[in-house]
Amino acid sequence: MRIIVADDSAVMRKIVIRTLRQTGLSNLDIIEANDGRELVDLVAEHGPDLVLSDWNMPNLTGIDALAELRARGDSVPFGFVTSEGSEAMRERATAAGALFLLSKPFTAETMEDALAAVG
Amino acid sequence: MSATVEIPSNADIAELVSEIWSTLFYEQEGLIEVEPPADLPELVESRVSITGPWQASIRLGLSDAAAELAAHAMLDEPLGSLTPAEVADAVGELINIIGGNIKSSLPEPSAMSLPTVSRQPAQAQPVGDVRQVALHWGEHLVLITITQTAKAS
Repeated sequence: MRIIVADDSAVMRKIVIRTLRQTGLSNLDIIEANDGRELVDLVAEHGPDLVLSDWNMPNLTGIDALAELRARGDSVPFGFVTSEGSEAMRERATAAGALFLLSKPFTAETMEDALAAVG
Repeated sequence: MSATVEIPSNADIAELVSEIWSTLFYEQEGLIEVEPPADLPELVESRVSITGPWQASIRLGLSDAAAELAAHAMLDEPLGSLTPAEVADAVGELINIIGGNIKSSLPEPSAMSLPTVSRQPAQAQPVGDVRQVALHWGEHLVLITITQTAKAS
């Protein structure tokens, strides 16, 4: 399963990837993006099975990256992993086409629950 | 429409940070609230700003040893194996998580800045309340300071 993990924090990308491995997903092919702009470019280049993205990032935010992907007709499954989890943001994420919003801090169990939405 | 937004209480801040700590550092000791020390040691300080109906800076202060311990625990790496940049990144992510969780309880629309990390932070110019919560993490001090930088109109 090819997954793009986007976060401007390298530490948080490592934590997300480590937690992904703890969920039991197998054959993971992880690609890292530093911000939303790089995320959009890497999706076009690699055609991932899933995107896990922070919301608040420099250059292009996660929600703007998702909007850009959908405007291009790209329907890649997309989930947010973010420290901000208000109801308004969840509604905005869903309206933009995200499958879930996982709040930080998270555990392997909460990530597994979120990933169930990917199918 | 105007709105009055209350700055979170010390008890709310302590509870929220303790919950975050227990999730991230479940193998470590929990946090215990203490009186803020009169003489603050030099701390590694990370900060985010929130703008919107409630405007404030939220700061996390950790000793060097606590910052090192937190970063290594977050990444599950042996002590001493991370670079200073990785430790700063981890401490920035900690305030990002704390600030994001506080922001989630605020009226929309609110925005949060990206985190910054420094040893000698600029002094905020408080207009309203200042909250300071000190917690002990084992032998380490964890200091949360919230400075309201503008009153809600």
